[in-house]
Amino acid sequence: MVGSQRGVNFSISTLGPGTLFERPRGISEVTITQGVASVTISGLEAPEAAARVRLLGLVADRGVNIDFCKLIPGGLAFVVDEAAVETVEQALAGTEVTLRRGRAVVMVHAANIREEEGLLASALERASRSGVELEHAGDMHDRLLLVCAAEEAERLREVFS
Amino acid sequence: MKIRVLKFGGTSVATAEARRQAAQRVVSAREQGYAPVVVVSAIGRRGDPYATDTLIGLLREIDPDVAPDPREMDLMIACGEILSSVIFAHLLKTMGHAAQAFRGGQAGIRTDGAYGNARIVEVKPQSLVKALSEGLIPIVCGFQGVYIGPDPEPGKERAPGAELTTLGRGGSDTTAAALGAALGAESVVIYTDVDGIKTADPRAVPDAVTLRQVSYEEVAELAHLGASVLHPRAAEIAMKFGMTLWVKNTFSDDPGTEVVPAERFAGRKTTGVAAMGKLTYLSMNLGEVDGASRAILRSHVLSLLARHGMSLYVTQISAHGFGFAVRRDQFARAEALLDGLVVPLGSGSLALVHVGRHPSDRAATQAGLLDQAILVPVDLTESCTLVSVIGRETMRHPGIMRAALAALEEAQVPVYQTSDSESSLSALVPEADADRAMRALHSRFALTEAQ
Repeated sequence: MVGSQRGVNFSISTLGPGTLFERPRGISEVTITQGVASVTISGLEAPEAAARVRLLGLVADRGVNIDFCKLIPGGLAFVVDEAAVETVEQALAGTEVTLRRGRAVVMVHAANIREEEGLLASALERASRSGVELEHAGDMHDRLLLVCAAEEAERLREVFS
Repeated sequence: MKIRVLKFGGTSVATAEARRQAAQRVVSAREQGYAPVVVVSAIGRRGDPYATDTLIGLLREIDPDVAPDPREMDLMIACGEILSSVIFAHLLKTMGHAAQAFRGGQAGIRTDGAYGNARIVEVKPQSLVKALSEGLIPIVCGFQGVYIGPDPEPGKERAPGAELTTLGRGGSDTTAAALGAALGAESVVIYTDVDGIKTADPRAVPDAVTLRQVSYEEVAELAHLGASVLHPRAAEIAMKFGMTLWVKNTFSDDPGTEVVPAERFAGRKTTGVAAMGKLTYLSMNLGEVDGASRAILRSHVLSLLARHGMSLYVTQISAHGFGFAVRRDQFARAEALLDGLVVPLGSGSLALVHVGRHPSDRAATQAGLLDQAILVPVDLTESCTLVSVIGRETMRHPGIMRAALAALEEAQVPVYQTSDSESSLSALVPEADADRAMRALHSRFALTEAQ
């Protein structure tokens, strides 16, 4: 559209019909990251906060990046790249630790998943009803993250399709 | 002539003097050769006579136990922006600049039908274009739009009129960004009462610094995790359309913060810290429940929470438990849903959920009737908040979680749960310790050196 304002010509290009301004509500995509291992540390001595920092330090000092860290009673859990499992095992020698190779992270993407009322609960409920054992769960403002056995990841994805 | 969208928040239009300073910004933009389009919020903040919270109070105080109808509530709170836009348009007129006020719907903002939290589905800014072409300065009500509904069935007429909707908290930023995109604006300037986007809320972290340039991704992450200067939906719209956003102070000549695409500024190692939410954390102990039954119990609980529209945060699932946080304003509803809940677990066994240390009458009665039920205690941690560190590059480094937890431990801040992604890390901490936690993280990640 062309117009003039106070004698100065200007043009405005408005967007066409159907232009999407905001991300639609609800689940937009489900992605899978394969090749991770889950690490669960238990039996921490009090004070647990200091013990967690010390153990995370042992892993970090070996150059291993951890994701998806969760505090659990008497311990903590996280995932690492599967290639780092042996390094983690060595770093945590002498600690009560369960390492599970062959895991996958299933990420359920949805804009504002926490704030949209009932959306996160509904997504987690669907995952819980899937029959897939959920070993770990977490969330950020735009996604729900679920850890399961690698061979179950596709089945978990299907419950959201 | 290029269009510039200028949005003024509540404090920028709170008093006659503030409005005059804001109007001067509009005049200045025009003198620089821009065609200004103005978006305004309601006048003032909580406690001021025409602020959104005051208008909400007028309905709620009639009977606090009866929730207002969302449609009526939207009609009510939209009045704040209408007043503000008309006053601002008239002010400009008195300063010699012809202006015209527009409701959101008149400005072409079409939304879905979710009263109180509508999303923009379309913008038809023809009326604004017409006003601009006539030399007028459009003053648009932020935070509102209209829902027209689906096309009628063949042979039937469309329902008359359009339903007024509001966009939720921070909706005026979203209005400004959407109009900027629809009009192909050169930039959108969000005017507020601080100098720009800072590394932290300066009320909590006095040595927080103003960031001169940030990427859309950085600011969206900051905003999602509690930074209140710019609404994340506005940042996301700007990102989608590659439009430059500025955040500036109405009352100072500070250059402000420029929000740009990642191609122009890749971001920094660590961007900032933020805190969000007044939360209650519920931790369900499933130690007495066998493996297969845990999923049954969890899905039953989640189904109830979903059906009642509960928002959940920092969820956690492990072999022996299940945890999540709810907003404090939703906790009473969550407690009423869960305390005394009886869940059939299959093969004749039952679980009885018991929230908190002291059983409610319902839970006690159920326990008396069901002496064979497996008791599932839910521990409560009240008055929590989520404190986050944002920084895409920092998150790639080994030891980031250790560094954050160590900083919080040194500051003697208990951490109840954590959450992390490729661009942020969050810790659920006591609300009373939130400022101390932010200061500890701000210091640990050397954010006073960020720019």
